Amino acid sequence: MDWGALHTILGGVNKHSTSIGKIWLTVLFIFRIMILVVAAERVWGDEQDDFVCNTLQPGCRNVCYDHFFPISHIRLWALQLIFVSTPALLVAMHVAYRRHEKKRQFRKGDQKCEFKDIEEIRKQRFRIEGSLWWTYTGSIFFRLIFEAVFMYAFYFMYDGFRMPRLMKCNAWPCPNTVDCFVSRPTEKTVFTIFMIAVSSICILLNVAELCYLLTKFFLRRSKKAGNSKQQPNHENKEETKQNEMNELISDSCQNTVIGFTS
Amino acid sequence: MDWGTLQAVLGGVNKHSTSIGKIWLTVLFIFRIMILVVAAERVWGDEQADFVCNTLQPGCRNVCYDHFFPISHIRLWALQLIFVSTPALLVAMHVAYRRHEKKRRFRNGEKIDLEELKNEKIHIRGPLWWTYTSSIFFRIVFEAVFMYVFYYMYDGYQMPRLVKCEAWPCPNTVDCFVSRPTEKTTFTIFMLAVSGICMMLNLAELCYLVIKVCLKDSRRTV
Repeated sequence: MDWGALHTILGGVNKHSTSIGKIWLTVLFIFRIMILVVAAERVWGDEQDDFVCNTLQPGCRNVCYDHFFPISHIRLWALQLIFVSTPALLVAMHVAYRRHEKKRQFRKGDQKCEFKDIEEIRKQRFRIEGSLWWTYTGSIFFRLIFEAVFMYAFYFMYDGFRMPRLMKCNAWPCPNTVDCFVSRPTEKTVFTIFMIAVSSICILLNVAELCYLLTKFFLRRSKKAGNSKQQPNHENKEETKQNEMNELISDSCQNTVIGFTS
Repeated sequence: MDWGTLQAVLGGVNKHSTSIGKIWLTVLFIFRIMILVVAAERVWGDEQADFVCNTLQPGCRNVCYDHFFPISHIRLWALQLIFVSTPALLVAMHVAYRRHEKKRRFRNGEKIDLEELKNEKIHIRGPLWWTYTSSIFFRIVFEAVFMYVFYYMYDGYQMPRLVKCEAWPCPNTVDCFVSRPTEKTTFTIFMLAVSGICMMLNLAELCYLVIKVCLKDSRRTV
């Protein structure tokens, strides 16, 4: 169970995302997870071994390291990436539930179900409408919250995003004040700023996706309101239902449509 | 999520590339990424552990190492390879968008065979030509930027054996010795050379695409 497994799980969610969602996922995997695995983990690899204090006092180095680095950057980033990826699973679960319902309808022999076989149900791409819209929007909202919380946690824990070269430590058992030197501070600062920048880009993408979904929702509502003014309500409900059915057919049952059009 | 995944992602792009693009991708994977993973990472593996300074002053070695190696070569190469590979994803996204549009038209009633659509080789014409050409342009820009950053950060491409350090807390001037300088110089020059070859391939591809468009235009006017 590693980043590759997460990649597999989230790859499935990709199918039901908006275009902005797909870009977000690509940025997440290539510019965050991959950079973390391929580069950042090596930079922080020797962080405790090469944390040196100007003292012979045993235990002082350990205590100072623990005092200044309560949670390592690498672990914080790993947690952030996992928390930020997880809301997408809500969407995956909702889609799986919908598919399960359709399969149940199909097996009962329901007249309303237009699918010819289980395979079509499995391959179907659901549109982001109705309750799925709420799930999807809720997942984006949670992503934003998690990103912001972790960025703040970084800022709060490390007093900014810069890694200092020297730290002055006076925790017991260090005698008086001891100079401690951090390993590779410049490289760490560069990578911290890079990860913060990509995190901000991801936040912007999520905000854009949220705006896009809200805009789509309001446009759809105003279209429906416009339609309902022209026709009585009960007729319209049947029609919209029929429209939705037709959309579902056109989305998935492509083989059967060839037959109709020819 | 490592270089193998990047290879899987970019492998898909290969289908829609020109022949020069396919050669570039092969050079990228075999002579750059593979060399980085299989050889260069071992050479630089002990760069800080075996960076030795002629002093007993605690902290002096850390500070001198940080002063002379702000970002390690390995990380710069990893970033360079990721940035240089990414423009190809623009092309992949454009191709996916075109396929999506064709499927939409198909649903609206036009007669298109689904299987053919999936296996179709999309020709580099129209807006895709612009996306492809700009992706090559960005590749060239990123390569050049990183080559310059290397040159600027390390004052050339040679790794010195000895560096003289005066950063606090080092007392006066301290001699520090770099680990495996000759091997590092060899690999730096090798990676630079392959980077240069990749830039040449990208330039050639760019010229090829531009000439193709100019010839097509001249045929139309004739």
